Amino acid sequence: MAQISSLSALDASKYDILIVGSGPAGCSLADRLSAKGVSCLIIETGLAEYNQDIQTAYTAMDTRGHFGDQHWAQHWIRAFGGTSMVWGGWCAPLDEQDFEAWPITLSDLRPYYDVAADILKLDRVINSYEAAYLPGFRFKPFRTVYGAMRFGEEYQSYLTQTGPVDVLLGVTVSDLQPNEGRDRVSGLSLHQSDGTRREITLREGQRLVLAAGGMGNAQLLLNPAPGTETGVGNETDQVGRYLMEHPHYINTAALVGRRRLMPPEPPANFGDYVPNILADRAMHAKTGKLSVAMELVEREINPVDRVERYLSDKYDGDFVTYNINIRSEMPASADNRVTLAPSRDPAGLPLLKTMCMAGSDTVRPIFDILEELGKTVLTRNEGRVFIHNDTLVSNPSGGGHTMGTTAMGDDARISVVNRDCRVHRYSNLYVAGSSVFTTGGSANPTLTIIALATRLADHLTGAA
Amino acid sequence: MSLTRREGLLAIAGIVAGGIVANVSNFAVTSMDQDASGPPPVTAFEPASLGMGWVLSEADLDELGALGTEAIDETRFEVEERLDYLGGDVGAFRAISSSDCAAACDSDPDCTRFTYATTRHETASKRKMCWLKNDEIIDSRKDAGAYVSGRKR
Ligand SMILES: Cc1cc2nc3c(=O)[nH]c(=O)nc-3n(C[C@H](O)[C@H](O)[C@H](O)COP(=O)(O)OP(=O)(O)OC[C@H]3O[C@@H](n4cnc5c(N)ncnc54)[C@H](O)[C@@H]3O)c2cc1C
Repeated sequence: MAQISSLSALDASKYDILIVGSGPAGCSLADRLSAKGVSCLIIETGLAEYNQDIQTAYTAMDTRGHFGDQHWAQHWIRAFGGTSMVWGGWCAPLDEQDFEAWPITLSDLRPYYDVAADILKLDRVINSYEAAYLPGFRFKPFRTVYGAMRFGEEYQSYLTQTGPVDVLLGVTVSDLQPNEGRDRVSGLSLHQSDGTRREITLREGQRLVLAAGGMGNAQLLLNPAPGTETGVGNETDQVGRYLMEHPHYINTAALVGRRRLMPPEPPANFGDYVPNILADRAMHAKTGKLSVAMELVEREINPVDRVERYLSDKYDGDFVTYNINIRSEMPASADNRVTLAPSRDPAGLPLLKTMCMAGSDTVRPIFDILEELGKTVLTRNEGRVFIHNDTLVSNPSGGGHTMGTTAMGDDARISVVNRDCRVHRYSNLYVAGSSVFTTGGSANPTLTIIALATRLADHLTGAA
Repeated sequence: MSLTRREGLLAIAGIVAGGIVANVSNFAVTSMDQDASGPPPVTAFEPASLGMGWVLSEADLDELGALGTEAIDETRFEVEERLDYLGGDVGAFRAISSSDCAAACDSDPDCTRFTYATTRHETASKRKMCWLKNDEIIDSRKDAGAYVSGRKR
């Protein structure tokens, strides 16, 4: 069976699970489900190869706020394998304190972080390694990958081999229909690129998982089915809110001083990495409870900076110099959000409009933590910190991380999915992807996306 | 990874590394855009602290102050007080003194001229700004009280 040739050839009733989207979330969910013999259908807008016309037609967006006009649209790839077609492969698990506002904890996710590392063919040590640094700070590197996994290539067999996973390419889910009591999805509409449409009815016991990306998951739940007022799962007007990125401030500070400031080296099986400093628990609480990752980039001394010249003399050559790149957390704000725009994509789904500002509550904790780092090395007479004010207050870049738009929570009034990633009220509808992140931490999201997706697979098969 | 000289020097350019899609921060300020709505004019402004973004101790500041301000190397630059070059910017950053600004230009192959705004500048955000420039300047303005400029010999 494998790849289904067209919408008319589809027999949707034979699958246990229907998955919308073939990115890291959809593919790893299908991977874990199929290993347990569960049959899945993946429905994907894109084709096996990237196609610019599809990309443009389906991701055009109106943008307000920080990060740039094309930012969100360019970071949501519509092809088999999803955005992994362009991702950088950087990985780190979230920290224990990052889960404070979530209904689940790091221990709930720990076993699945290891499953995620296995799927990405990375050593599990990336999930446990960290080392002490200066008082108040920890050393926790990002795993970097050159030649990051392209899920479309990795899961090519879904297209070619007969197995429990079938794929329908070039087909977009355009709306979800609620039953009368709004506690089940009764059906969905599918649109094929040649214009063909089909309505699918979900049979008893069949479940639907949205794995359409941080934008796509919100888009499907925001869009009311014909004849209804409110999108499925948007009964409390929570879908699309809490939109978050990881604001990146590149070369925004410097750390110079004695050689003992050199970061430790992770064990060899960790693999390639960038050195990264984070606050410890107490410092995190003191500086505003947002995660601020400080990447140390070794550089040469700047000979025209008299402070650096002075310090290098003072430390008599026992001297190292680093630039600091910041990757930080935005507070989850209900006002940073995705809404529907008046225009539509070829499948008839309303296109999106974004409003997202990295405000003073994002930037102030970064200043605070850099000041604390500065005071720490100053009082220990080990070095000095430079803070480049103007970079920190300029428009940040992002990592291509679209988070928070269908947030996880116990309280349906302020969230969209519950701790099992099931949409509140709806018995047969689930969400996989960074849209469920309650908060974003500062780690790249995909390792966590895969951990959550494989945990969801176990939930769906009764194993978790 | 080591940065190019100017990145290290000015810490201004966005970089693309690993999973980051960086934008170039909109840092290039030119001496042309005199903003009208600045703070009230100040004739003499001598800041007590010269940390310039560094987290320093009082002792550091004393020791740095004692190092004094070196003069611009006039064998390398033709220096003109009260001159402001317009346009031709290749970089902009804050520098402690005009000699540090000149030294930055000297070490940058793209830079042939510099303009430095002294602490007398009426707009606080312009004070101690150093603009590195090339020969594609649009114009020059004489009698620009708060500026000093130099051209590589
Ligand atoms: C340049 C760049 C660099 C990045 N670097 C990193 C990194 O270093 N580390 C990291 O962790 N993350 C990185 N990311 C983010 C990473 O790519 C995403 O977190 C990840 O791809 C999200 O996986 P996903 O499966 O949830 O969504 P996606 O990969 O976006 O997949 C969603 C899929 O769903 C399909 N779809 C959407 N709507 C519908 C619909 N209605 N019907 C049918 N199909 C639909 C889309 O076509 C798409 O194929 C980067 C992103 C970019 C853009």
